[in-house]
Amino acid sequence: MDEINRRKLLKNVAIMTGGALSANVIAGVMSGAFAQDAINVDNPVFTADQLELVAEIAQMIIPDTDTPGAKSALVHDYIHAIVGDWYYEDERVNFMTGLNAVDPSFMTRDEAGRTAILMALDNEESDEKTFFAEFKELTLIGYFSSQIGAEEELRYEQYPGPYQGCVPFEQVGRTWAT
Amino acid sequence: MADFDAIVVGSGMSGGWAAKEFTEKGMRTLVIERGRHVEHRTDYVGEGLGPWEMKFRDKVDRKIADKNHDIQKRCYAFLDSTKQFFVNDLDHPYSQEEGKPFSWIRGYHLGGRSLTWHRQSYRLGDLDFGANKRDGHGIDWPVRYADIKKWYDHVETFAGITGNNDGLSQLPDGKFQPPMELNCVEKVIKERMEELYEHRRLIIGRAAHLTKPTEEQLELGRGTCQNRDQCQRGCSFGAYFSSQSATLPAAKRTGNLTVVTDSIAHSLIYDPKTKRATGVRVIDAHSKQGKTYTAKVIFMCASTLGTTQIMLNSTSEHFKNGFANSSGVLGHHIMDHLYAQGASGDFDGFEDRYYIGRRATGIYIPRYQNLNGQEEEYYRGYGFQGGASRVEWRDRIGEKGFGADFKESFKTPGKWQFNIGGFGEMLPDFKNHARLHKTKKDKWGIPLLHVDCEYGENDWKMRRAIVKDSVQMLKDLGLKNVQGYLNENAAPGIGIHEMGTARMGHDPKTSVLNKFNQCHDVDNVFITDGSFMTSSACQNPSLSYMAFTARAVDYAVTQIKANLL
Repeated sequence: MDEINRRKLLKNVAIMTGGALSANVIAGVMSGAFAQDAINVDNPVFTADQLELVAEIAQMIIPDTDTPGAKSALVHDYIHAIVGDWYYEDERVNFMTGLNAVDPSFMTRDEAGRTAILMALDNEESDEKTFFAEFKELTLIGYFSSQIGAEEELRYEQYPGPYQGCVPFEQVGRTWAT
Repeated sequence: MADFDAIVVGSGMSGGWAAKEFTEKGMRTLVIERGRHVEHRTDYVGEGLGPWEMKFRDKVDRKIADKNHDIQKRCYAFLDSTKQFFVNDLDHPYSQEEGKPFSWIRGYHLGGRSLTWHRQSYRLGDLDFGANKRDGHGIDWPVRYADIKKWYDHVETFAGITGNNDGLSQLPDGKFQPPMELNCVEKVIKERMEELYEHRRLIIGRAAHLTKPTEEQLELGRGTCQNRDQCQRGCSFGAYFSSQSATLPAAKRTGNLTVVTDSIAHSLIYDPKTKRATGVRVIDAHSKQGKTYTAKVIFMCASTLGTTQIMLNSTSEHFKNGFANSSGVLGHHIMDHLYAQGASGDFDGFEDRYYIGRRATGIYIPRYQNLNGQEEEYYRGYGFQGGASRVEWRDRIGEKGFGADFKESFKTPGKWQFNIGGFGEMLPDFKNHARLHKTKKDKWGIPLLHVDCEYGENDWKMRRAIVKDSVQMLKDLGLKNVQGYLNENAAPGIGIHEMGTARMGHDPKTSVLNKFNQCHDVDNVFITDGSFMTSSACQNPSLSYMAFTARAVDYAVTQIKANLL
């Protein structure tokens, strides 16, 4: 939604509701910038090197293209919050074991070298979810639910308005984030 | 003289309606709500947040969910943006029979579950009201469609239901606002279904959303649905029906409404001389001080199990086993809807087509089984809810790949998929019941409710039939990669349609309520939440609670005016 339409909608809503709105609705209608607020990690578990490694792997999965990639969307901080604050101890140990098992040369390799390392991880077959599958899941969630991922890379509309059930794809242009 | 003309216990779907109808008929009315006040709009703290504005992207912090919401977290709508409308299970414990889990999903606050419901709104018809009598399970409803039809008209008109008049014998038409649109794939499947089957119809879901608000709705500050589909966060547009958006403001503007929150109904007071209830004992949730409110008539709208708990706790010399329970069936015949089984499949084509908006309703396939007598191996029937949508990033987690091309591939939506989930009718069974726990009490000294409920033989037959049938149907309709599902662990209660513990009936010996939702034993006490349901049908029940509440108030006020109450 462009700025003019945002303001128009806000005005209409305000008239209809006699001005009483939840603060979030006002903020939601007014916000327009693609950015990612800092993610607060209550129980940090990554060292600075590990956080960098996480950021670089995530960026390899979702690189910068015509839109910013994982690093700009702070996907590494999201993963840090999940591993530090969300996971129970056994899950955290599992993740850290997987992270520490990533080829130690990853950070010093060029893109082709990094790709080869991740390709090997991506092709691992296992009955259980592999470290890389878990990492990639967190990366996709972290990225596509960020404002950059949802609104810039994909499409997200807080106030869609009337439902239209069968429009040419070009009218939307990209997949809905949600 | 009584404090009020009417007391309404509970402020959710039924309580809001009772308050509106009583106050509009000039009755001084008190609504007693056990939870906190929730102000329309300003207290919808999760509304309008993008996923990036929530640390765990709208999932509830798992450690908090596991600790405080071990039951509530089973509900699909329990999210970071909605968690304030679900109880803390540690503060509000109940007891479950060993080996028979029951999921009691609750919201203790003004508006109750009217804030978090899924808004699907379907009438019951004579197929449903006649079901118990026809096949002998349960007792006969003392009501037929002709008795309740005008009250469905009444509540649909006020609440605002979007839908289509489909002219189906098994699902009565109603007073609807313009229907929401089927998408391309749903339209094709609808056509194929009509070609393939005699009784199966795909219709747009009927739901309590405004698509063309009436003057009355606009006056109440309600507006058109924006298709955000984040309804359980609260809706400042007032576009979906809730107590906050509709019934309570309508009641308030009469000047006849008083609301007390944080007031936990403990029990009803019985006067053996007059054979009437004189009032309600409440406990202040914070100070734990007791207080009594009196009224000419009392409406119990505290939710099926909430009302059951209060009634069972209202013992006296006259009612040793619970209020108005001379029949002994109070608390028995708990029903839910059979839930968590269905199928999905892929649809080829329409890859250049998409949709705009998160449509706030889905598709509905009304019941088509046992329409003309007993034809299936199980009794009663089921309907399906679902819809078609295109594969998006969430559906692709687990795929191989990474890098620029991988990222790029998410920009284009994947195949269309079509899914349907069955909602089945659960038979009434005396064995399925709630009673007061003999020793355990909550922090207000009220005995815990103990729930003993499980699916019966017919219910399991039907659950399995739903899966088999839905898989076959989707294949017949030309879908690919059809997968059925049945969650064996989904315990009763998770349909969040619990009902039936104070059923209506002709005979005071086998039922708690008469045909006007009035206690057979006590003339001035009515129950109009889900407790009254004599059978469950398979339709989402809230619209029926609204209609029966409005009808019961009309009857009660007539009785008051004739000095009979």
